[in-house]
Amino acid sequence: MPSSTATSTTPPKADPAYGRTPGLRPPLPAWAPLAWFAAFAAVLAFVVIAMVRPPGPLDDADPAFQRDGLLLDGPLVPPQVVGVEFGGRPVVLLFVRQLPQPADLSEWLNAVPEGADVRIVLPQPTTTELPAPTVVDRPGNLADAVEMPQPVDGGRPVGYAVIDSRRVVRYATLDPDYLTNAFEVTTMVNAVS
Amino acid sequence: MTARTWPKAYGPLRPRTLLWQLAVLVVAEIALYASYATHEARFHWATHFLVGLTVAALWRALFLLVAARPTRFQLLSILGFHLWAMWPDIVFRAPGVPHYHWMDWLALGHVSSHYMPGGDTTWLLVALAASGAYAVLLWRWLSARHTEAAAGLAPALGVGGSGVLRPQLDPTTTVLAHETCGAPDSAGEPLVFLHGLGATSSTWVPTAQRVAVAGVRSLVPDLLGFGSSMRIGTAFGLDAQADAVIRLLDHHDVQRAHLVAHSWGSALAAAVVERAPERVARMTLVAPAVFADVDSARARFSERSWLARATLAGSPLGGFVCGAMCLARPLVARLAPRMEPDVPPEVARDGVQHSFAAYSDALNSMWEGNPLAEVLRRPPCPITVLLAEQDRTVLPSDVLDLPPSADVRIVRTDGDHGIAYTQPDLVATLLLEQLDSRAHTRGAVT
Repeated sequence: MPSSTATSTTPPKADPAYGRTPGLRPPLPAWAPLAWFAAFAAVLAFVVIAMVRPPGPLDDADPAFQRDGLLLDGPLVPPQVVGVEFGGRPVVLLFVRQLPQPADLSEWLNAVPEGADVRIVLPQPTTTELPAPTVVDRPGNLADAVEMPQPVDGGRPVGYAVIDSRRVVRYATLDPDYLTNAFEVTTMVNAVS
Repeated sequence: MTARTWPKAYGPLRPRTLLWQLAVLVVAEIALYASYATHEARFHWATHFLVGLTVAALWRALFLLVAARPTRFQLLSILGFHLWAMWPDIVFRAPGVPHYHWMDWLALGHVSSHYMPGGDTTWLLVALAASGAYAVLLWRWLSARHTEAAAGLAPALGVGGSGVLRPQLDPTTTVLAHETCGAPDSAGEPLVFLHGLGATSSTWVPTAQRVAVAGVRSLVPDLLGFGSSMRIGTAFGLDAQADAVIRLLDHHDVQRAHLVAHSWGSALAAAVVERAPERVARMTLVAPAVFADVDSARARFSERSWLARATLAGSPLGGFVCGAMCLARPLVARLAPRMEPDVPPEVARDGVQHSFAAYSDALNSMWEGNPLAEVLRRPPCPITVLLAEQDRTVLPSDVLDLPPSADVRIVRTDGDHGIAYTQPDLVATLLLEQLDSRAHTRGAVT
C-alpha cells in the first residue's frame, strides 16, 4: 500500500485492501467445499427421499394439488345438486368415506366460520346422529359438480370443497387428515366469506 | 494473526463461523420440518427448502463472481432463502391468508414450484446441481488464494473476472505485459510510457509509434492490474507498481530510462524515481496527478465518474458494479466507445480492462502517499511537465503554484485531461524536441 496509514488502520469495508497480508492463507483448505457438498448431498438425499412420504391411497396422486391452499376461481356449480342449495352463502362440502368420532367431527365443524353452511357428504345413509346436515350421494354427483380430485385408490374422495356465495368453487382438495388440519378450512372459508 | 489484519473476505469461511451457522440451520430446519410434518405436509417443506437451497447457491455463486469474495452467512443464507420461499405458508397459519398466484412473484415461486414436473425429485436434482456448482466455484476460488499464499502474495481479494477462478501471477517472476516500439539497438535512454488511472498502454501507443519513426526506442507497459497485465499481482499501490516498472527495466537491461507518464502514471513515475533515482534519466509528465488541496481533488474525481464517486465514498456498490462489468467485459468494452465518443475507441475499449482492486488501489494512491508533489519540489532529474489549460481533473494551477524549480520545465497548451491520447502529435513533438536538443530549459514556462 502506498502509505502506512492504509494498513495500520481499519480501512473501509469496501476497500479490497482490507486485510491483504502477503502469504495469508484462506481459513479453509481448498477441498473443503467439495467435502461439505458431498456430505450435505448425502444427508439431503436421505431426508428428501426417505423421510418425505409418498402419497397414500387416499391422497392425490400428485401431491402438488393436495392442500395447496390456493384460492381459485373454479367451476360454477348449479343452484341445486342432490338437494344441496348453492348461492347466497358460502357452502362447505365435507366428503367422507367413514364417519369419524362425533367429538372429532364437532371440533372440525367448529373450525368452520359461522357464515358458511356445512354439508357432510356420505356414500350411504347413517343412523349416527351428526352435528351437521348430511347428504347421501351414492353416485358422487356432488363430487363431480365441484370437480373433487380422485385419490390414488380410485375410490370416493375424502376431503372438502369450499363454494362461495356466487356458486363458484374456490377450493377443492383431498385431505384424509382433515381432522388435524382444521385450520385450513378456517382460512379458506374466511377468505371467501 | 490479529483480527485487524484478517480480511473480511475470509471471515465468512472461518470454521467457527460456519459451525455456528450450521447449528442454527439444522435446528431451525428440524423445527420447520416438524411444523409441516404435524400437518402431513412434509412434501411442502421439501419443495420450499430445495427452492431456497437452489436460490441460496445461485446467490452465493453470483456474489462470488461479482464481488470476487464469498458472501457473508454462507449457511444461514440457506435458511433465509427457505423462509423467503415458504412465507406464504406462515401467513396461511397465523393471519390466515390463503395462497394466491401473485405470491409466486414475492415468494420465489411458492405456488408454481409445487407443479415442477417430477416434483421434489426434480427439485432435489436442481438443488444439488446448483449447490455442486457453487462448491466447485468456491473450491477454485480457494485454490487460487492458496496458490497465491504459497507464492508469498497477498490474497487477490476483489480481483474479479478470471481472478475468481485462477491465481494472480507473481509480479516478481512475471514481467508486465508491454509493447516495444523502435529499434532495440537505438542509442540513448529508451522511453518508458506509464498510463493513467483506469487506462492501459493504448493511451501511449500512438505517441510511441510516432517517436519510433525517429528511431527512439520505447517500452509501453500495461501496469499491474490493467490491460494485459490484469492477471499480474494482488496489490496495486504505487510501491508494487514501481517495483514492477523497475523489473521491466531489468528485463530489458535498461539502466536508465526516460519516464513519460500521464495523470496517475506521474505519481507512479515519482515513486519509481524515489525508489531508484539512478534508473531515471528524465521525466515527462502529462497532466500530472498532483494536488494542492486533496479534498477538492477528491471532489473533482467524484464528479468525474460514478465509479470514482462510489470508490471514494467507500461504498461497496463500486466493487459490485465493477465486478459485474468484469463478467460482462467483452460487451462493456464493445459499448465503451459509444459511451465515450470523445476518447479514441481503443482507449475507451481498454478503459474497462482492469479489476476493481487495481482501480481502487490506484485511485487511493493518488491521495495516500503520493510522492509527486515532493518530487516536483526537489526534482532528482530533469522534468518536463505538460499542462492542459482546460484540464478540470488535475488543475494546472496546482502545478504552477508549486515553488519553481530550476529542473522543472513547464509547457502549457490548449486541451483537457485526455491530452495524452487526444494529442499524440503534440506529445511526440515535445519528446523529440527534448531528445534532439537534449536541451533542458531550466525553469522555463512556455
